[in-house]
Amino acid sequence: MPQIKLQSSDGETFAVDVEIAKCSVTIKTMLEDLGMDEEEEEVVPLPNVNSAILKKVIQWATYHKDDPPPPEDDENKEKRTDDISSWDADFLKVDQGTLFELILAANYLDIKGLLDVTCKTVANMIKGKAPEEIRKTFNIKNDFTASEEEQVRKENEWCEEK
Amino acid sequence: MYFQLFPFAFINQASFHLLPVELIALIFRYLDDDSLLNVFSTSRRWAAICRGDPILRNRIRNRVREIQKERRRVVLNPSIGVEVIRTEPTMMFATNNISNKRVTVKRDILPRNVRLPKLNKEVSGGPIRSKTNVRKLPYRKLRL
Repeated sequence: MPQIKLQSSDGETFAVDVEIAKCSVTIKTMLEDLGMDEEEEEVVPLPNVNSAILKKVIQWATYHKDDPPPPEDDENKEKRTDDISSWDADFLKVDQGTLFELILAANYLDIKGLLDVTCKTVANMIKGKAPEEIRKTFNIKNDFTASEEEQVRKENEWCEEK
Repeated sequence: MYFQLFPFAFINQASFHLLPVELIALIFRYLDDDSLLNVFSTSRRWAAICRGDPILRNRIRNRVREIQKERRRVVLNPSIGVEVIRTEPTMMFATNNISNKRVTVKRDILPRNVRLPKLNKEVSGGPIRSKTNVRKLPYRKLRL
C-alpha cells in the first residue's frame, strides 16, 4: 500500500498509508490537486499540528478507516451527544488542552468524524452544569458586571415548583 | 495539595480561549436549550458568541419565549385557580388551589404590558370610560 509522509510542526515525520491519510479532506484535496507520484518521497508539512496531536489523529484515523462517511446533518436540529462509541470515549480520556488541540487539528485537517466526536465530548462536559460550574471547569473569568449578572440571573431563574 | 493551592499551574495552555469563535459556536450547537441558557450567562464572550450565531440565537430566543409563556399561563389563567400572595416587596407566591402546588414567581420577571382579558359587555355594562381611570377587573389583583 502506498504511503505518504506527514511532517508535524516540530519536525517529526510520520509515514501513513494514503488511504488513512485521506480521512482528512484537506490532505485528500491536496493529493488530488497536486497528483501523487509513487516513486517520489514527498513530505506533506502540517504546520498547525504538533507531533503529539498528529500521533493521536493518526491513531484515530487508523481505527476509523473503514467507517462509512458521516451523514449530512440538519443544522437546526438539536444533535445527540450520547452516541459516542466506547473506543472513542477511551481515546478522548485526555486532558482539556489535548482535547482542544484535537478539535483545532480536526478542524484544520477537515476530519468530520473526529471533529464531531471531540465537540460532543466538550458539549457533554458543559451539559447540566450551572454557569458557575462551567466557569470552574474551563477556567473562565466571570466578566459580567454585578448588575448584568443580576439581570441574567433574574431572566433565567423562575418558578421553582415546590 | 499543590493542586488546591495553584490550580492554574495544572491547566494546559490550550483551552476555550484558543478556539476560534466558529468552533466554539459549533460546540454549543450540540447543547440542549437549557444548557445553552447556562452557557449564555457564563461570560460576556460566550454570550456574544451565542448572540452572533443565528442558530444559537434563535434557539435561545425561542426557549426564553417558552419560559415567559409558561409563567404567564400560570399567573394569568383564572381557570387553574391561582391565588397570588405577596409576602415581600419583590416576591409573589402563587398557590394553585386545585392541585395544591405552590409556585414562586419573581415579580420583576412578569411581562410589563400584559393585555388583560376583556370582560363581556353584559357583565361590565358596556366599555369602561377612561374618565375615572379605574379598571375594576378581578384579575387586577394578580398584578401587585
